Amino acid sequence: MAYQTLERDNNTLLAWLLAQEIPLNLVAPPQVTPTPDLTVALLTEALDFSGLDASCPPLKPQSSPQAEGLASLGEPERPAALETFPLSSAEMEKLRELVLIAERQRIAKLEAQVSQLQRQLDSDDSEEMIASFKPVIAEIIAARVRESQDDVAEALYPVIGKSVRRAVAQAIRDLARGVDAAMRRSLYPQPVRKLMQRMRGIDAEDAALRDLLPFQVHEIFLIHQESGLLIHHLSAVGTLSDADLIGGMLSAIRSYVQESFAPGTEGTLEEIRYGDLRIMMVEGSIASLAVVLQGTEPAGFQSLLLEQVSTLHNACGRDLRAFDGNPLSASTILPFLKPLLEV
Amino acid sequence: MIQRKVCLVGDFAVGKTSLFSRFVYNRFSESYMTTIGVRLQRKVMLVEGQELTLILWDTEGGQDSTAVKRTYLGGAGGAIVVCDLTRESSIRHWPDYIQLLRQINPTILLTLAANKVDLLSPTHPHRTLAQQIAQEAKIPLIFTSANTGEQVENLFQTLAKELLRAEVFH
Repeated sequence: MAYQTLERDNNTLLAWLLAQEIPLNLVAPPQVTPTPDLTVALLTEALDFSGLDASCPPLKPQSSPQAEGLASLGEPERPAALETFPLSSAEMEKLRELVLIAERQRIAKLEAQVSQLQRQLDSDDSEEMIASFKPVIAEIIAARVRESQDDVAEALYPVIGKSVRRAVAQAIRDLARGVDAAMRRSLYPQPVRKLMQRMRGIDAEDAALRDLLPFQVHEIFLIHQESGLLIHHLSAVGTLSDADLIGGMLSAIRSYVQESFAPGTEGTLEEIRYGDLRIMMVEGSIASLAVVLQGTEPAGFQSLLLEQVSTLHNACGRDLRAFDGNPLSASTILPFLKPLLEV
Repeated sequence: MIQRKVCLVGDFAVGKTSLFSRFVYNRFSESYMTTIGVRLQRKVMLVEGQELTLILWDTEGGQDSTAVKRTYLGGAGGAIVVCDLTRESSIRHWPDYIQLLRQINPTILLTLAANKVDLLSPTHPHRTLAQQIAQEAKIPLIFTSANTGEQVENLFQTLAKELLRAEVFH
């Protein structure tokens, strides 16, 4: 009821508040003891008139002696306090200051902190920023790892898994090469190999591991050296629809590397590695072999490739020289390529 | 199946890759992307009732023929030498490319592609220049537009026929 009569006037508001008994102390000098949070909240709330109009439900009067007294008077639209406590602007300002001093101090402190953070963000000194965020981020990560190890492991697996796999594959290859180097050749019959291993002090477990390392030849391309055209292709994993293009591209890569990095030299591109897959390349005078393999090849495998290419050139030199893109008879070529697929 | 290596050569930005894309994929892109190294694609053609597989090598273009990586051209049965009809220098470089290709493979079969014909008026002097060089070198000349697709199929068909004819007389 009294609520509905309020006007947009701070003095009136204050008077109304006084009438509600709560802030009576504010206007009874010298007992001015303001700044209770309750008063601040009331002032803040009451100062916002935007949502209030005549349609608002009447405020339920406080249960207080004054309120009861007011009610008993019948229908006084305005409490007596409304007319009896007008405040000047200066007094109002002073009142505001007294009421809001703690809040203003807090806001000033927060503004200073925000400015400091903004300066750090705007600063070009990334070191300073890293130093600021490092402890927080480290703590967040540590907490996240403690809370949900599975989620973190799952998120990191694509990155770490590949690196670990590569490192393990490399370590195994190194081990295999170490054993092979000590043995010189591992294509001896097994009893002889074992005897030699013992004589050369190779650990039996290392030697056994070496013998068990997985290895498979996936594809074999016989490529015409000059044109890059595919002479023949064999696959252990099914048909490859783009074998002719792959053969050409391997030839182009070899040419590109040679012309770009080593023009006029006799070197050759011997290997391309992609993850677990490797492409070993061996050149003959007319045709070259490109073998796609996975795993650790047995020692002497590259020598075997060279031997096969050499034998092929000796046996089919005329056909190879005449090759201009017309298919060569499979029966001519296959005997030289098939054994490589079965190593 | 018979397969032949066919190289596309010419100065940079004359439209080698555009002709290649128009012929293989029947598409054209306005945006220019330079070719690094070489791009390979296969196209199976039916020429006079016979199947022929072209292994197309779209090579990187340079300022002139000296920029071509010679090893890309080795063993090519045919080549298409491309120029940009709007750029006179690219037409005048044709004889250098022809000489280079014949030096690497004396029996190579060539076709000249005068590209971007859609950008030129029918009486433009560059047309005459291109015809003059083609006549002197005795090499078939096709005016093409990779943009509109004009004569692109015919360009490759012409070379493919030559390749098969050479195969018969081989």
